[in-house]
Amino acid sequence: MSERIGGADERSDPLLEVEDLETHFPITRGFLRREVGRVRAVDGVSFRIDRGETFGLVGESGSGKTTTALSALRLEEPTGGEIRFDGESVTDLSGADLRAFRRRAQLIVQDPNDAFNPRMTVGEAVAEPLALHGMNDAERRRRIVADLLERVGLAADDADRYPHEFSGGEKQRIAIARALVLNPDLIVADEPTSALDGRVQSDVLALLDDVRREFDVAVLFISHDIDVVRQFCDRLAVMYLGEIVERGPTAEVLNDPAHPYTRVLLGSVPSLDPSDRELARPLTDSVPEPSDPPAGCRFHPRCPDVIAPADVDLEPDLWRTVAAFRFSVRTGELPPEIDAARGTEDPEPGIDETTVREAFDLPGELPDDRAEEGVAAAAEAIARGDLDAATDTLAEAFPTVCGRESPADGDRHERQVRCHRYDSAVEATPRSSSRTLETDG
Amino acid sequence: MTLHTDDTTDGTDALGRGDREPLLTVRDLRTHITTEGDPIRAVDGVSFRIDRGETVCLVGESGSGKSVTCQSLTGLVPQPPAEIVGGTVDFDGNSLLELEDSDLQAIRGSHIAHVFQNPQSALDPVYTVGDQLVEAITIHETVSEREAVDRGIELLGRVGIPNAAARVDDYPHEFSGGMQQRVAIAIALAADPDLLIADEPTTAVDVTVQARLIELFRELIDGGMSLLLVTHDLRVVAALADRVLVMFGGTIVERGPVEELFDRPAHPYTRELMASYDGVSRRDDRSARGAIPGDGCRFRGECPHAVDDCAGGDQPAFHPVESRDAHRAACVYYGPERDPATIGDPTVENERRLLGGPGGESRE
Ligand code: SF4
Ligand code: SF4
Repeated sequence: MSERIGGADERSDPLLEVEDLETHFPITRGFLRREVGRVRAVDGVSFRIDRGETFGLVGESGSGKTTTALSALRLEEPTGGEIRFDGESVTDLSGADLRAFRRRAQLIVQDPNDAFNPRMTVGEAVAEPLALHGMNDAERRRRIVADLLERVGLAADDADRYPHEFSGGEKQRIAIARALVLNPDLIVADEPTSALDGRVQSDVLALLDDVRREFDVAVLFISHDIDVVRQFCDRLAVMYLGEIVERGPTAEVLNDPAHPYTRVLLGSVPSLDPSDRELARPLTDSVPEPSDPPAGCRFHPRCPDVIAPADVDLEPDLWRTVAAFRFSVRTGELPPEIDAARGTEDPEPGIDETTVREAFDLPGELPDDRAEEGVAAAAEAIARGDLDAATDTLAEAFPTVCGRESPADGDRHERQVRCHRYDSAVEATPRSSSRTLETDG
Repeated sequence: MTLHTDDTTDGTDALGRGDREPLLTVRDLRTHITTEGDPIRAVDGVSFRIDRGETVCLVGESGSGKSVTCQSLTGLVPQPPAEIVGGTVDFDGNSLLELEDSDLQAIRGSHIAHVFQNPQSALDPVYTVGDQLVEAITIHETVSEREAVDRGIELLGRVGIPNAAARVDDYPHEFSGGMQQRVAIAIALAADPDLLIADEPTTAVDVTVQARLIELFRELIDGGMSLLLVTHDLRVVAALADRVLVMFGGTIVERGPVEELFDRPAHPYTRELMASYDGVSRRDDRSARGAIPGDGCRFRGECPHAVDDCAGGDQPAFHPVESRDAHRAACVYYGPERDPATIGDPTVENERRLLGGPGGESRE
């Protein structure tokens, strides 16, 4: 794969290249640990980090962002794909070669308390990688550690203190010192500031940013926090259910998100302007299991931009209401009035087709005959209490390319967007009701 | 009682809500915590009021005293090591700090409910969600088991649990984290409380789940409930608050209607907090070190503008910001002898901040 970086062709100097990375975990059952399924934690992920660059992996829990990073370091064994570091494949490294690779790629974890042995002084902890990699001169180790501690904003004599004597922010500074001690080319930072308070968080980020410039280290930064990623990363990739759905320069992606999931994600972050209280809403809330991702586009049962069948002629807003109806019924996310009626032991729960339509904001009659037929049949099935029949009826009446075919990575400006709306082969424009796209020149 | 920290009169007219009645009035609350050595003044002279149907947000970092404040109101704070050494808490005519434990418990079970960051603390793993709802409902109401179950299902539906009728028999661990928080909220709502005290309720969940919880809180407030929301997250504050109280070192340092406070953050601490959202770290590397002083302005060890007057005695008095009585800051620069312009113009910083992020102008 190739990837352009905004106006910086001369700087194309890949440090880490990950292609089609796949990390599946078997789900086993019973005494014989028979494999009954696979958690597709990372499922065909590609990206590249240049020297000295900061690259963010953003996503919610279950997106696979941490597994992706750990797999790229071979701290988790990938089940497929190719990883190259500084031009050399590291996919099959073992023994001394693997150790040499890990020395050049260091990890900082979220909880600084997990990172330190409480019985080791800070100086010993920071010097440990040096000793492990064969530096036997204790005096030299001490000098390096003292330098580094001062560099991260602590004092040289903090080396003799123990981790518990430091605050969370200070411990994370120590973790940064330790990550730097072997002069790595890459630091992988997994939510390094999410256990810290706001001001301390931005202090630690500022430090990480300083040292990565000073030491010319690239950073793979994993975070769920858009504010932090915006501050820190040159480029980012947004992950959903084991895949990268959008990738590009940070400012562009955040100011003008293209992928419908990215829009939902960013639109869910409350504005700092109290007069703007609008929050985005996916069609349905349930996040599918990574062991059983939806066919086609993995986001389609939740996507507000899901593409309508060619022969259904509805206004976009009305189509969205119908799509929400279709997928809410499938995931069982019924409006409380319908749900409660289903729960009572009353033989006549008192819901009819009209109640169902009202509960799902559907009009009394749809302007498109075929659509009307499907909705009416499904509403009637729900009133009867037969959710399965309703689900099947809706699936048949409203098939979507998004549920059938997996989208490829489409190009839009300097970005890759994995969505049929950006795929020239599919007839659907990226136009949508999103506020951000309408203002896009 | 110290008048300067009392906001029971603040801005009623300015906000045009003179018809609201106060539900909770806290005056000069002081809670000390003694673990080893000298007691820590975890809450040191906190006063505020919550009206019916109003949302007040208590914002601060960990250790600011925001959680201890809200746990002190209903006696949830463990005593010892904590001790409520002063102040009054008036809730709908009851003086909470003078009540016996059993009466306080009755109020907690009916009129005031708590929700915490970690929903597991409110859920018992060995009982089904339905059992726990039925228990919460029957504590303060005599209804048949069947009716209680139906009400439980209704509550689960109301907080947005799909397929509530089937899920009522599930155990807490069968729900995802976000769904567990909804279940905890359903249990809290079982008593139809007048006031919900929520301590970092969305901190442990993903942002798309947080968005749904914010909407749920909005619905509850529209239904007339009052909300005291404790959080470190200014975005959540912007999304929910009517009024904001900013806490630092056990004291409230700035207070005001949410729009004014976000538009013109006045106290140097509030400004730093807001600046941290755009990553401008103006703090030098060691600014976070050292103990927070126990008198005067608690922020002075970290404040770039500190002067001699900032030390000693009670915290600085609250002064109106730009002559707006509803918006006040406890900083000497807002007093009559000094000019707040010397510590910078907040609107300039604020505009720059709003231009930067996904939550700012870009979402217009
Ligand atoms: S492919 Fe279809 S379902 Fe997937 S994000 Fe694009 S529009 Fe939405
Ligand atoms: S009172 Fe003094 S120390 Fe406190 S915020 Fe104002 S200037 Fe800073």
